[in-house]
Amino acid sequence: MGSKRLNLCGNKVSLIAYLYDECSAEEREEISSHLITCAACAQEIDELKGVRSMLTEWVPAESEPQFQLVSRNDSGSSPWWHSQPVRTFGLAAAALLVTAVAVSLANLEITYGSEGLLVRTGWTRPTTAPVLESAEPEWRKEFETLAEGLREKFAESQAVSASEVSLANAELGDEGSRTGMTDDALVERVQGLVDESEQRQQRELALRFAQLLRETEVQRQADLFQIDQQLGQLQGFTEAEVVQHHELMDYLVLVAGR
Amino acid sequence: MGTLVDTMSWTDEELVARCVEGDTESFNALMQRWERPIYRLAYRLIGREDDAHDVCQETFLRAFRGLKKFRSEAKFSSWLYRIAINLCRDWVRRERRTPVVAAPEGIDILDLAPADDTSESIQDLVERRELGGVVAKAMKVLSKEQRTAIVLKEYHGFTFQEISNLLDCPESTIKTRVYHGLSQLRGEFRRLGLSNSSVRVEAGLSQSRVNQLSARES
Repeated sequence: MGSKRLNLCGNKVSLIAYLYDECSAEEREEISSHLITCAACAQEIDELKGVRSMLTEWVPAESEPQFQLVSRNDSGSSPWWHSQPVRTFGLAAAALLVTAVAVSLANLEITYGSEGLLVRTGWTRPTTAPVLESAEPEWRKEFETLAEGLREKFAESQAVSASEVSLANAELGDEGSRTGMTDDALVERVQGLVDESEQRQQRELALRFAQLLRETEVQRQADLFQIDQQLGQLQGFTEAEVVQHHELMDYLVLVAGR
Repeated sequence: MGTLVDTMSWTDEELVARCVEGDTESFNALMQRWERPIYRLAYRLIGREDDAHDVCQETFLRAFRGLKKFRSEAKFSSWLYRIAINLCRDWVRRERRTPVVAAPEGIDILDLAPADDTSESIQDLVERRELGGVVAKAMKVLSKEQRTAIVLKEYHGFTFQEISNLLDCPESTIKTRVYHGLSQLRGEFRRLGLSNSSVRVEAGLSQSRVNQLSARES
């Protein structure tokens, strides 16, 4: 019995079990009888009881949560600063892509200065010139083939007329000058035809160029409009973010001031 | 109204099973049942209302996402408490190392530091006999292990066995933590000149009285 009491005295684990009444009936009996004879342990228990009763004074602030699960629970959970940068980055990337395409198309000049982002187009003569040059060979080739064909026809007709002439010579004998005259007229006529064709082709070409210019102009306008829109949107987003930052700053300053 | 009565009578585990089958309303019933205890736990472990809200919300979010992994090997409430305790532990650890938001330029971090605490000193609270505030402040002197053990024991009524399961420590360790925590609080209250409101062993108090009181306690 004596040794048991010695073990019990000052045994924190046993005292705590007794304090919260989490010990067997036998153990409780032992501790109770120990407390009768040991003033130190009895005082300890009473003081701990006093601390426990003090702890009951601590009640959390009244505002308590009222959570509700809604169907979009997953997306709703991610705060704005998680989703926003990704979205802005995506937009920025898209804008950059559009800009890059536009730059390659329209010789854009972009400067970033005190007045903000400035986009200027450099779509002028120099850029149209290469297009002209590049388009010409095709037209020339067409013309060449046409001229070739005409030359062949001309040669044929000349051969025919030559045989006719020889026949006529044989018939008329002295009318050599007349055959020469026919040849000249024929050459003249063919030359006229060739000239006419050439003119027609040039007109057609001019028309096609005009059309091409119009189309690129329309495309350019559309691209510029799109870039403008994207940049505006981007600016809107950054402005919203700046406002949010300001709000956060205000809040922090307010909280710091309290 | 009928459904409300139904969910009220169901056990946590039944509600979990229903939720896993796709009935999200059962999860709302579970939240309704446990949000207050979990919030109070977080509030007492962290000490700040808004952070306690955040931890509470995160606890339910994690529980909802991991509900399929919950295999009723434990009680749902124990599982929920475990999540909340771990989140609070992480929160306290993170809070010590880094500020929540990087300090903006021109603002000294030290100016921001006391913002989380009320300006009232513990002595003010003692004078006004606002014992709840005194306890809240005194609890901050405890180590987080002692604090967790005392909060779970005093305010959530877990047995030592249950706490030892929740915290993965031997029962005797939990009892020792509670003992040292209470002793430290006693020292703190004494230092503040607070006499315990419950029975104290006064000089001359007879042993029989002590006996009587212990008998009544048990």
